[in-house]
Amino acid sequence: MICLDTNALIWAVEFNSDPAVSDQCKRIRHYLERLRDEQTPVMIPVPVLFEFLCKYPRERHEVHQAARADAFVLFDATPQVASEAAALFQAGNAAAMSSGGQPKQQRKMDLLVAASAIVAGVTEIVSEDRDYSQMTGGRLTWKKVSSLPLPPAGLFDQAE
Amino acid sequence: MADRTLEVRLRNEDDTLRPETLRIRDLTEIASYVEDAVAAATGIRPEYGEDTPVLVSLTGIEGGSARLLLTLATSALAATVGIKQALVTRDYSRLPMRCQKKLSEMSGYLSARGWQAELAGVSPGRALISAAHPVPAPERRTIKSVTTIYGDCVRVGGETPKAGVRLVTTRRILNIDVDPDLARILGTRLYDRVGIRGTATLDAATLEMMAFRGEAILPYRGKAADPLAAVLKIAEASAGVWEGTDPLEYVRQLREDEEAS
Repeated sequence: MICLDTNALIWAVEFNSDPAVSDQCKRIRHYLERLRDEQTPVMIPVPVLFEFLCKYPRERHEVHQAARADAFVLFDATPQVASEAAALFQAGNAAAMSSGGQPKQQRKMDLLVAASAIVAGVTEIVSEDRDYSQMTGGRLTWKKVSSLPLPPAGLFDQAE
Repeated sequence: MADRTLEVRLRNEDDTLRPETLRIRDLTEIASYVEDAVAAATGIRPEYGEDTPVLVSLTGIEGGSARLLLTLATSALAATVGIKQALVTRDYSRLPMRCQKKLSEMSGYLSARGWQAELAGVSPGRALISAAHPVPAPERRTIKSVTTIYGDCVRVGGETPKAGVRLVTTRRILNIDVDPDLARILGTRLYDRVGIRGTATLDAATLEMMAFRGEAILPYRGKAADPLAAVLKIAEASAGVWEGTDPLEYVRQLREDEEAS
């Protein structure tokens, strides 16, 4: 199972004429097409959904619900997620202190995304700028959006 | 390099156990209990279509009582150290319930034959399982949690309806309770991937899911799910929403606000 971070989800739904942005949109869409063909489930964690919906007024949340619910795995935030995130937080602090530093200022939302993915059984998380592999001691494979292949010319050109 | 050999020494009261006095079945049974306990403690889950990795292999049987020499995969070392520590301290609260259950079954198997097992290697010290030091069955302290499961529906039916769902999270088949209406719906989704909302019973110590009562099927389309079509549909309904937004900056601001607070 594959997990999308917020930046990947935004590029997936964005139309933008800037070629650099447009390429990111094409890459993630092409990747989703491949995952669909392979029948690989794609998961959106609750914290990612939260950040995504922050951009929409409440009355429009429901509009997207149907599209998301039939295509994505949407787990709840459960006690297991809380426990896993706390363990990641403690491990991050312990690692910082064992190398002679202070407890780390860690981004709690990153940890919640990582914990949600781990508890869901995700193997790979797509994010442009968050090193989830390092954050989880290698339990998740981190794939950058910019490392995904571009689709053959012509596909998703409506993004331009 | 870490010591990867776990020695399981079997003894009886008059120390007459030798490899040649034991049935093959007894040796394999005891080795299997150890293998299952270690596997449960690692939490390693093979991917769909992948074989279960070899975590423990039987690499020797020696005399001097009866000694099984088990070689551990590197990924099983930490779990095995945890098991030994639990046996030495008699504190099993940090072991997954399934792991303690296997150790408890092994303990019963040994006691029924008047044997004991001493575990050495991997970490300093020796751990003993015997009639005087049995491993108790795990206590079933549980909590309930409303939750969602996803997995492949591999069977459904029965007078008291139940369904078997191979979970995407653990790749294990979970037998869930369902009502007849949900059973009928699941019957139309056999061998498809489904999402089900319901109430889970969790082991309070490990949060491992022990049981699940399904209440409703989710709209998730399983193997026909089309995440690309979904994002294009959302894109259509999002005209202008993300215009001029740099996703990296947007997320950075949201997550760094959190740090500043």
